[in-house]
Amino acid sequence: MVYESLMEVIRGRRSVRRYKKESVQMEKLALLVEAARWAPSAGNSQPWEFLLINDESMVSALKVVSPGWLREAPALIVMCINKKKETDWSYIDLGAAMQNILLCAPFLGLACCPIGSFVVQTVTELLELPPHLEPVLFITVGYPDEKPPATTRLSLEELIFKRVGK
Amino acid sequence: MREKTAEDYLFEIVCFLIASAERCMGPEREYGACRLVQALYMLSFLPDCLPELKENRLLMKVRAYVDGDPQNFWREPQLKKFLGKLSTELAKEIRERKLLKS
Repeated sequence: MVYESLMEVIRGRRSVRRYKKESVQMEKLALLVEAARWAPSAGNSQPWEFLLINDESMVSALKVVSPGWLREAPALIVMCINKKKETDWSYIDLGAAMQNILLCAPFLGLACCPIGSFVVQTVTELLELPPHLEPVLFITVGYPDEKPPATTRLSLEELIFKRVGK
Repeated sequence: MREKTAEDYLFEIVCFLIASAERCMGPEREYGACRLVQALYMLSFLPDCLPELKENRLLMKVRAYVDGDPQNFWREPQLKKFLGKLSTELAKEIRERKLLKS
């Protein structure tokens, strides 16, 4: 595997908020979760469960209780923590699973935007989630209708506090 | 899906405001101004459902501002600058509507 090929995907990732109206097939959403499935987790706890939603009315219902979600999206993945498998590192694990989804999306012609802003109680109620599932992240999914420019990043020198060794 | 009615649209705004208030009491404490601007943005679409309502100049400015940079409209330096400008416009609007008795 060539380092630069992977870096191209990583650097090219964008949070896309404007999607085409075209719906996203359930199979494609499942392919994204297949990428998430292979993320690392503390002690292989796999503390995550996912809801795949491409039903227009449910997507709209969830959007109205998510203030950070600005534009329409045809589909949504709801990432939940499974409380029965939760460890101190579960949020980190979910972050890794999310990144797998985001990086996989362009290979299916899709784009995504993670959103953490929503009212947990209302979402739990609307999706009829059992008590052991806590929704922690929305990922909107759709066919991109914009190409946002890259946002700035700190330089390596700003990020690396210390190099120890040669 | 059926066309959105004014009633539907108002309900969306109500949901948005409730959800925003709930979030602003918790992890989104700092988002207050941003959420208010988003609510103004939503209000700017109300005349689409209520033809008897005239387009509001201030709301249209908010819409243009948010649409102009949807990724960054909420960032503080530019939002603060925009709100400053809008507040000046507001004074003009108040005068034009003769709300000031002078």
